[in-house]
Amino acid sequence: MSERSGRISASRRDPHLGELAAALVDGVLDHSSRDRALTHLTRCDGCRAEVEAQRRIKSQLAGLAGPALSPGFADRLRMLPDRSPAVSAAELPAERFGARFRPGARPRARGRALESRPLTIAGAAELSPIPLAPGHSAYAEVAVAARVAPSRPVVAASGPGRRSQVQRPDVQRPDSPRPGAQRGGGRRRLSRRAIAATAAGGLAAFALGLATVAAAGGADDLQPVSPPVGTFTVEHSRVTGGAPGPNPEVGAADAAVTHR
Amino acid sequence: VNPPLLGQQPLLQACQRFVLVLGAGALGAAICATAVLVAGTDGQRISPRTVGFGTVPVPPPRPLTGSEGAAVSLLRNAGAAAAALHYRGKKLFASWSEAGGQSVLADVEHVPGRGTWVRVTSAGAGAEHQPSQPERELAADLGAPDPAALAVLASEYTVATAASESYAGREATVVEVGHAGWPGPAGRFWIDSGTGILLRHELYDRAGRQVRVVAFLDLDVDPASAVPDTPMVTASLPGARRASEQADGQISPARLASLRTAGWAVPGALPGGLVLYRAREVTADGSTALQLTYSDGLFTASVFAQRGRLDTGHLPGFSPETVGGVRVYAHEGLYRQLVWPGGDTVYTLVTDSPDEAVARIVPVWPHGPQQGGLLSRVGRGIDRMGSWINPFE
Repeated sequence: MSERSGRISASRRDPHLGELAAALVDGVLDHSSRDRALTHLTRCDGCRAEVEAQRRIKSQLAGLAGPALSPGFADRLRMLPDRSPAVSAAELPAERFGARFRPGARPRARGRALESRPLTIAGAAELSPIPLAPGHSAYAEVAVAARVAPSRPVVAASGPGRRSQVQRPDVQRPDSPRPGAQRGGGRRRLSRRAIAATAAGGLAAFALGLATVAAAGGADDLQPVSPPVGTFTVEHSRVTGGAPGPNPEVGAADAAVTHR
Repeated sequence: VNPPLLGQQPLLQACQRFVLVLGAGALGAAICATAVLVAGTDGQRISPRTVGFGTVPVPPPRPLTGSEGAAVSLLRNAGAAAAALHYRGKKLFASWSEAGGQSVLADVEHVPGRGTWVRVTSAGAGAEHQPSQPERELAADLGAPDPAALAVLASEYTVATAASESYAGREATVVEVGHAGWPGPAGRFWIDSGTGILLRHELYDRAGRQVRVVAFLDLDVDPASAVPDTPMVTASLPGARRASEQADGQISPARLASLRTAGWAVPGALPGGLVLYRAREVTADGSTALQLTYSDGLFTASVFAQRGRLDTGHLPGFSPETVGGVRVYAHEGLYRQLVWPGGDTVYTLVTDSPDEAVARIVPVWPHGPQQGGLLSRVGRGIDRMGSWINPFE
């Protein structure tokens, strides 16, 4: 194979395309080589499959995008506290950090703070777990709250002029028939039955209405159609033969090969 | 405590429950009716009869420069030469799309005034050496140039003459067709300088990928047949052309307007600059179809519309696909062929357009459940019941 001014020509008499398949897909073969290759494709299933695979791979590579960041990643980074013992972002290469979030845009105030802010990338815990100083970070506070939560009572509702209702989920009333049951449980069961009955009745009424409407719609009066695609293809090329792009013989060749 | 009230309480509760049941049912029916009505008006999913089609604006004709006019003239003469000359040769047809490719080798012979014969000698995609109908005859003078198609080409694309090249042992002039928004050429045409016959052409998609090649590998032109030295423009004989068009099932503008009024979908243009330039009625296999043909001068698309319900059991070689968000049955040959139902009509698209253009063309047409489906039946029922209570209908 030789290369001349960006065009590749096939000099060997290989019965199969081999590496020429990639060159064919890349469109760098000269006319005679490309026509020989295309002619060969009309006879060789293996080479045709290889060319298709190459073409598909090229399309997929062309459609690849850069790695996507998780949603809200930039926001989590901006929410980081000012104090942290970790590495300063100024010590990091720009392309590893904020520059990737807003290409071409100047960082806002928070973004500027981020540059001089230590890298406690906990929003960035996905990247590398960096220890947080307890009591100095929102994340640490959340973690502490999470640890003490089971032993604290849960405040269900509170407000001005209203007594806080405190529930201990792990404590049962002695008179409760089951956990979580309260007074009026029988009434609640009754209302559940009523809701279920209402839903079932509503469903039945809806089905009845749907059936009535469908019955009013009447029966299908359409005849089955199997489009004669081969004839249509020939007719298409018959009509478009006057345009420079199409070719009247293409339809005949297509119909001859694929449609009876 | 009032005893009669106590006795009435279960009855009251039963009444309340009955009202609740009716209310829930009515609410569900109202929601479903709204959904059916919305589906019927959104995206032309129920019936094309209820939908008016807007047309995509067609770009106005653009004045051609001198070199562009010369290039368009070369293309026009190429069509005239193909119709007027007696030639035979081996021709290669190849086409690609995202779904696959097809290449066919055929012997082609054209006899002026009689027709063109195409004999497939080998073909890819599983039909190797066994074409179902190896020889096909086409009608006479298919290559007659179409001024309308060339005018659309000149309005959509830039046309220029490139340097001459040697091709298949002949001196050829290369005409390059480009598009303003495309990085590379949209098409290249090699035209024999001696006879004016189009020796080869290549079409490209927006990304610069080759999507079609049609090329003579060898060509013999009968020297006795005359070489046209002036463009054979059929438009110069408008009366004769109109008569032949009518004989060929061509539909007059008045008839097209009445079809639109009757509910047939007849867009004046399709996305990508394809404009409607032919409308015919085609009879095939005992049924009549409306053929609407669109072109931007380079790529073409014909949509065949037939009233009826799609019989999917008689589509050999077709496989279900989603194109432009529409479920279709597709076949990849030298042309891309797509079939789908829409309302009370079956649509068949035959096109050589690239994939991205096809994905924009298909959703323009009605699509969705046919009359046999429950949804469309419910929609008809709602229409009918609505007409019962509508005092103005």
